[in-house]
Amino acid sequence: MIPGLVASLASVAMGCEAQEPETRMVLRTEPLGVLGQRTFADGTPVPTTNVWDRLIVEVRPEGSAVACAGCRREFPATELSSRGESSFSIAGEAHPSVVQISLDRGRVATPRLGSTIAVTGKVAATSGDGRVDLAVTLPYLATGRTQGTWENPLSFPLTASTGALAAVPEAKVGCETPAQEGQGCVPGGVFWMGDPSLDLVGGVNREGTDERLVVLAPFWLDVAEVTVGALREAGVADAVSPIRRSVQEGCTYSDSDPTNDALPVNCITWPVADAYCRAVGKRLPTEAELEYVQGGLRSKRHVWGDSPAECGDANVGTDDCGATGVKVGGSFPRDKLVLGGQVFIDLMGNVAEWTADRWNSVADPEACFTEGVLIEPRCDIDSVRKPGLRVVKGEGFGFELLFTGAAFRLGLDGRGAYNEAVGFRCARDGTT
Amino acid sequence: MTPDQRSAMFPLSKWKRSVSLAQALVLVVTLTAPAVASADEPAAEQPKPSALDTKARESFLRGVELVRATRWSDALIAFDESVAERPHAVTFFNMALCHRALGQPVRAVFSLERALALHEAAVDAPKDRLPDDTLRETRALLADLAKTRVFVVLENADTATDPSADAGLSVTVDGQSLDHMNESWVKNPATTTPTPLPAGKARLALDPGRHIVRVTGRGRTPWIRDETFAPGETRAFVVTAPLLPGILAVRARVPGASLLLDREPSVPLPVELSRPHGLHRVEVRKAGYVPFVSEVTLLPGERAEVVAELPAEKTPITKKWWFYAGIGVAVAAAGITTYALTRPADKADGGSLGWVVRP
Repeated sequence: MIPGLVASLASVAMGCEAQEPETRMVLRTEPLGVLGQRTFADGTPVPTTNVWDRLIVEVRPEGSAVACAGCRREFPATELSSRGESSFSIAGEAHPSVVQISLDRGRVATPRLGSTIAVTGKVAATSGDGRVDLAVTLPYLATGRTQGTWENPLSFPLTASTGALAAVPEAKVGCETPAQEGQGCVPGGVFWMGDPSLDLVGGVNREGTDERLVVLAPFWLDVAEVTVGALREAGVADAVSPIRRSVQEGCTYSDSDPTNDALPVNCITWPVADAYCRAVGKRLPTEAELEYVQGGLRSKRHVWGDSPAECGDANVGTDDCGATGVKVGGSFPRDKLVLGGQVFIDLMGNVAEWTADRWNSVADPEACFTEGVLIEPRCDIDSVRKPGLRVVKGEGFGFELLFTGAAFRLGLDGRGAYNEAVGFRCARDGTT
Repeated sequence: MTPDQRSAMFPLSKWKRSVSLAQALVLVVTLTAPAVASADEPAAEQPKPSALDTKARESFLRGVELVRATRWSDALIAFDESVAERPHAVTFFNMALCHRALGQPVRAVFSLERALALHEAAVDAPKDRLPDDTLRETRALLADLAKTRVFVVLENADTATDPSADAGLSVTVDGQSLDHMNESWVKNPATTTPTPLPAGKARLALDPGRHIVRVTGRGRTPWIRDETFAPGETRAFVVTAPLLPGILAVRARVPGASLLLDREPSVPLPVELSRPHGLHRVEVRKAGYVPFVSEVTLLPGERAEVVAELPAEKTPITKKWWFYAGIGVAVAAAGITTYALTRPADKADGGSLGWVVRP
């Protein structure tokens, strides 16, 4: 039994015809229902992550430590069949071969376990004339699980492993629960959480660099960060949170002065942000939900794409760009995401945003988000090293431009920490 | 439910929190004494604390401050840090008080036992021993709390007759994993990862009240008990978690195909069947298409989905009805000729990727 991957064999007898001995390797990726072209009700396309960037195939004669001449190829994902089935031939084999097949995200040069489906298996020499088709299925659920090695390859055809065959849930576009004013529906989908190319402090800080394939159902998300006026109206502010403007310069909240009512509220603790969302029938978004949206649903570095952040893209960078404080929502036109006519603003900058998730660092012994495919992930395991922290996503005006990125994550004490560059928005389940 | 709410539910606290607080404050002096300079003694005679002792003391003092603020859980973290640097009987006694305040008599008992063990081991180190009155309190409290513990005995039915049989079962209590302490298993509130169920019998030491014991295993029917236990009660259970069948879902890429599963009579596709775990032969057929045959290992409780490719059959000319009708007696001689004529261009085309490897 081989968990994580399945292969099936279909031997095709060619009647009385004769051919050069050939093994046809047929590679089947997940049925593309979750990734096919989808549209919103207004006809605009749903942004979608291209899960795989490249296919790497290498063939070696059995027992050889190196590939034969011309026996290694990298194919860009654009060359893979859109029907989810691609093939190549191993021809004229006199001896058994070992084949390594890898589907990879390709964000960095060396494939990483968490973003790769890799299988290494032995192909028997074809005896006589004719063609043998070997179908290898590479389902999403095999992501992060290496099958076979050069030294110890599996044998094709593989016996099916049932767990890996289960398809990931179909990603619906529309929300099923009723709409609420100020929220837009984010369609479900598949995306890569984490970005190995995120270079924080010269690679010393690995937070946010591990990749996980994540499946999300549709959900509702506030189109803008929660404002001072909305928070006051909900009546959940307590004596110490948010910090009042009269107490600390840069904080926006006031118990009575309406001057800042249109500004995002900042200097707010996690419990009060959580209380606000609950009071208005919502909840704080998860880390995965915010990262999905901040990557434009396409696993990009920023909501606008992969191009590096520059001053003026978003309200970030006090030191780099002279950002002076919280701005009225939508002040930076590039920092937005349009989904079916709904415009979500200030996803990368203005204030960073509290999430529902507990902080669980890569340094923790019990990882919240393990290798492989995560469905609707949410972290409720407290960090052993730094208990009590909650995850903050996005950027605030006071952060360095360097840290701008959907994968960037920060842990702040969820019991009492506040920051003038941290606010929040709320989310809500889109399915019942 | 929060720990503080839990503690409010159980009438465990003959010890009032104020008493606990006072105890902890008195004990500060004991632990910190070596570091406090005294005007009566020459400085040179003062034992110089090591870095570890200093750190342990700082954590201890922080714990005491947190006890003052009735922040029992936070105090425990501080005391934990202190004993990690330097285990001390007094610190364990204070930890027991915190556990007690949080309504966790099981953990309190273990802390008290540890305090006593350290005390008794420190025969030649008076400063590492418990003061007499604290020693009396420790023993009294231990006797009192030990009586309130609940013991749940789980007998793993799969290993009852064969201790070497590993059914791969894991257990959680109230969603928490377990730690092995003093021959019993106790809840570890820090993690939720299920703990492997030991072979034979496992004794769980729990606080009184309601508990949900859940035993699970890959492909097995979960065994779940939601029970309420009185203080001092011991209850035994035999755990059985039978294997689940697997689900086999089969469909074909062309309509009208049918399935022969393990060579049993055919059923039209698509179909989803419950079958025992193990190896199954899947054969999908449709007239005019090349049959699909595969073997599937169905794991207990899992769902296998098989999609059958059915390429259209290329009928050899010798099987065309008119070949025999039209050629008649020439058939025998035409066989080899037909073979040669119908042989294709014979080169592999490299499939959709257009790549032919010749190792």
